[in-house]
Amino acid sequence: MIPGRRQQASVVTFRWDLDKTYLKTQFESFSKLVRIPFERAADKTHLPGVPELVRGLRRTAVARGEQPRVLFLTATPPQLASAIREKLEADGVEIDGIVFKDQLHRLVRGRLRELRDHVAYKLEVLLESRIGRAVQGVELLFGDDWESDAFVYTIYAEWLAGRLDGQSMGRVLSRMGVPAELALALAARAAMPVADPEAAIERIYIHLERRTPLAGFRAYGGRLLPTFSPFQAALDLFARKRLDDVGLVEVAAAVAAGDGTTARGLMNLIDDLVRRGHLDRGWRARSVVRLCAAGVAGLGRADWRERFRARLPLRSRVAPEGQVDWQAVPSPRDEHRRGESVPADAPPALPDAKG
Amino acid sequence: MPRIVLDTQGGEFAPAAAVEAAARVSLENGIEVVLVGHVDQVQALLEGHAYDPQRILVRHCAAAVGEFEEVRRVWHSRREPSVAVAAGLLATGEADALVTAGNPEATVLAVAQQLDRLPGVERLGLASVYPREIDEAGQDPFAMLVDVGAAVRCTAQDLLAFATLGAVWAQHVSGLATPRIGLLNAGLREDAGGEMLAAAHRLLRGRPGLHFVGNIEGSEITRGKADIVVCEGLVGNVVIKLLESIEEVAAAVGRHGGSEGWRARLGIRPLAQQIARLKEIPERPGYAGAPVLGIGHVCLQLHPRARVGAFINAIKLAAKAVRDGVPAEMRAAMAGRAG
Repeated sequence: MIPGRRQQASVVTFRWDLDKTYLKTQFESFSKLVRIPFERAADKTHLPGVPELVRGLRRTAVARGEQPRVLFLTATPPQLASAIREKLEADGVEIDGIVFKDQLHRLVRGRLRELRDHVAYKLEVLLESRIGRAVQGVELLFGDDWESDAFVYTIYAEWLAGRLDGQSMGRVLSRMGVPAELALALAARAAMPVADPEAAIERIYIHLERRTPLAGFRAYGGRLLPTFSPFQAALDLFARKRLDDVGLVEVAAAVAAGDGTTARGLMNLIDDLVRRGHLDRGWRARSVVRLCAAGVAGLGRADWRERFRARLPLRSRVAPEGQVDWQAVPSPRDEHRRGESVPADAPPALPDAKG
Repeated sequence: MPRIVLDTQGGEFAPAAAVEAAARVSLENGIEVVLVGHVDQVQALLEGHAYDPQRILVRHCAAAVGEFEEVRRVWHSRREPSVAVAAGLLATGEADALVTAGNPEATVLAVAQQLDRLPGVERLGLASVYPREIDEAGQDPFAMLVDVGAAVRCTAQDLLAFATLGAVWAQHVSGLATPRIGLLNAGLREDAGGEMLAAAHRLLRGRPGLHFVGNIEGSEITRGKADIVVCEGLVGNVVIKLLESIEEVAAAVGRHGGSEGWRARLGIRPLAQQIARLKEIPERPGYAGAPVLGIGHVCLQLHPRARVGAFINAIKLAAKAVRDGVPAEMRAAMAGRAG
């Protein structure tokens, strides 16, 4: 290695949520919830394709001459740390850090409101990770639609981009139901300067575990990509040259093997991204060729020929990255509305929000 | 996994009803839906619902045939309409069954142009379902009338084909072991209605495997005497339109009665409410459209006022028919008849 080169290498951070994004955690019912603390590493299962994606991103970043950092941010208590670390190790996922939510600490100190709040907790960790730190580079964020990852990540991204100051952040958080004292504390932290001038959020991926209608994410702008499968995230990352051919094929193969996704299903996932304007024809073709060549899930010559004949007109419906409509961002309090159909033009949730 | 092609451009609630139905069906494993319609419009609607993209495809087509448009003129003046694109997918083997709520004439034309007829079938039969009296629990609340307009005039052989194919359909879809077949006629005698109907009566009566209950008159159509009523397209079309117009007639009577004083109003209102339910056929829980008979594929025609529930029923019914091998059964039935 050339001396000093490592220091010059740009940093790229891949920050992951854990439950429902990486792990197939089941906390829909009380019985499943109480089982979680007693699970060993071997009991924990990951979403098919995600470990392959994490490994592929690191490998590709290194090949690009970048310095990758894989971080996890979770609301899981630190008491489960060893099982989770073991699980990640077993999956071959090398991590650079993991932040747990110390619920016991909050309980002992009587901070009961913070026990259920994940928005303020995650945002605080994200802000702290940037304030006063010199080099963090660009960041790609991965979350799901169970908690409020889309909202938290977008606030963080807008703050980092300088489009949301501390005062505005406080207003948005208050209107979204974050306890006033937490919103004020976060607003104060957000007023601190970011040391890294290159800091930026390149992309936010939200895994649609609950199949939340896509219309609910329009307000977040084009930087956020809701995905139905880790394979869709892999496709987008492949098109952005963040994931190499091998990574794409590995993710597709893992999704096919783990979820039982058929060759048709994979093709339909590709075409869904094309229709949504997130994948252009050229990258679609390249992806299909790579998958066919690798023989993933029985994709054959006839299959991709048939697909090439499909007349799918392209469109550019995707909003520009920084265009967040805070008035239309759904409130994290509206948990009960998740998964319900929403009209194509959903009414604004916040009539007079500014930001 | 059966692949059902859905014409999103047809029907009064197009394309929203079809798209929502497809989105909801996609969340259940086991059926893949191909939506034929304007891709941007379809995608924008899809995004308003929870859906699973693994089981949804969209084939772009912006043209459609309106409910009251002259079909042949549209066919020649526009690019391929959505129902024709959908039928084309059946022809090339890219889909297994077709569901549409579009103009029925356009459906028949598209299917007739693009798909091969079964052996022994000269004319296609368009079926329609209507509510009928139920004699016993578990009986299908709908009876089927074939043909309602695909062929204006028919031969006795055509009516026999409609009865044979309708019986296969009813066996698999309604679960009737021996569906009762009736011949719509102007009298109960064997030779009533002229030479063609008399010949049809003889053919139906002599056909082994068919439970032919004889001629039925107009007054018996809704009484549940037959599960399948066969007739010429012209007659069937008149009958089905008349059944559909009863609600409007009742409303007119109600309006007139309402001016006769409060006693009349009191009596007519509940009656009118019950009759108005006729208009709700497409929204009844079991309604799933009716098949186009005579082709080697499943093709379901829905009422133009079909809503999401009816589309969902039709998609599931079409998938069931594909899984149960109904097209092959129909082919075998027609081959046996020819033999």
